[in-house]
Amino acid sequence: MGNMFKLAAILFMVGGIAAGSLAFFNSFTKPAIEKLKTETETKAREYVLEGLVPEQNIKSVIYEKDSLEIQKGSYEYFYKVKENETASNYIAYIFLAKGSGFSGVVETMVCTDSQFKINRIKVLKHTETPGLGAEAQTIKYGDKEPFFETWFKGKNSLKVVVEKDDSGSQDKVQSLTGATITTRAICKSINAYTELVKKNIENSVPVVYIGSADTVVSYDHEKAMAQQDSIRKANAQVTEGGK
Amino acid sequence: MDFKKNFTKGFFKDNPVFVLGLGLCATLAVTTNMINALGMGAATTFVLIGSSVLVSALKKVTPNDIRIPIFVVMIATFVTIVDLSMKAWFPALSSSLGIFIPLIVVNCIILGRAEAYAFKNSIWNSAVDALGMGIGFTIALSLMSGFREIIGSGTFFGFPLFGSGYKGPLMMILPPGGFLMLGLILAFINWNSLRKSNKNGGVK
Repeated sequence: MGNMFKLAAILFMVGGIAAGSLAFFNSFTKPAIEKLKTETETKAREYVLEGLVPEQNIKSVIYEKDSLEIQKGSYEYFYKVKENETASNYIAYIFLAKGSGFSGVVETMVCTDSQFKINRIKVLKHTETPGLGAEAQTIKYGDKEPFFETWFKGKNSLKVVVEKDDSGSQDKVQSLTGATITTRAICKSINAYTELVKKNIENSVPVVYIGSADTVVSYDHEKAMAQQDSIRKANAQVTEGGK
Repeated sequence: MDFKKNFTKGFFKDNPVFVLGLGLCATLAVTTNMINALGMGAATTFVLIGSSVLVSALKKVTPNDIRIPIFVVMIATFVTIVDLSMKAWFPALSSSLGIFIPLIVVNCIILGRAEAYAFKNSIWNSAVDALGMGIGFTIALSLMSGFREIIGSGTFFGFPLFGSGYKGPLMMILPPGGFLMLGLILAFINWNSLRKSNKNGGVK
């Protein structure tokens, strides 16, 4: 009996030492991982925006971060893009569309202009089959960008559809050979997220987070919602006062 | 056992994959291109050396009854260190190896060497054994990957060999291709050793 406690104590100690050393190591890698994540996102944002803004201005555009209600109580965010501080119109919307592909979630970063015409997309994350669905990210030798992503240029992001599903549509895209499910998942996720973005813009929810590309990294949803509420209340008081 | 024999036995004679039949899961899954193979090989070698040295160093104070859980905790610690450093400093490699880095924990080469070798031998010998086995594993992965990448996608280290028009049999970089390639290599090795033993009059 006593032996059992001794063994348990030894195991407990080994576990504790392991956890301690990992926590110590984590303190070195964590900043690097976070920084990388931010950099990847900024790069992806600039990549999808390319073409809509003159190249020399791409670093100075203003990203306004706003929230999308994916399901009741569950939020993600998207960006409204202005050319500079004083511009009154948004030139682009950038969002991360997520949909279920053949073997997991496919995440696609999409940039549309203010009329929801797709400027560029970038498949960021997927677990699709190599050689089939994974071709969505493949860059052919000599090309600069994945051939799959170029098919989406100029299509209406509300209507973009796989050719097999609606061959008469103006906004059809070919499906990847042997990977219609992946292509369909990407199209449908783009449609769905564009609907959400459209809803957000039409309801003209006040903007919460404003900043340049590298300042909009943190996003605290509860704080954002509280701020939105107070702005709404302030607006309501102004209109009431005007009556 | 002399140093040279101890170091090189993992390369071919006791190759962990082709002869001992260990670590087949990772071997089948990540060998779609050379970069993956070398990354996985290096990660596994690091974990092997770390855990072997630690197991050997603590063999006197490790109670025999709970040695396996202790080994597993040690191995898992090294694997997590590799996983975190890859995520921080080699993000591309980390995303292409994906789940197979954390899965090194259950790679039976590592537990196998800890149990069968490091627990009974000195620190120095264990480290040499681990390095040899790690290199052997990397050789096996590279061999599989090399053939699969060249045949399946017509590239080597991502560099195209046959021009842009080459359309290889996709199957080679899909899971069935892994089984086929492994089968072919094992068949060749067995054929070769049979041929040798026949030459020596039935003595291996």
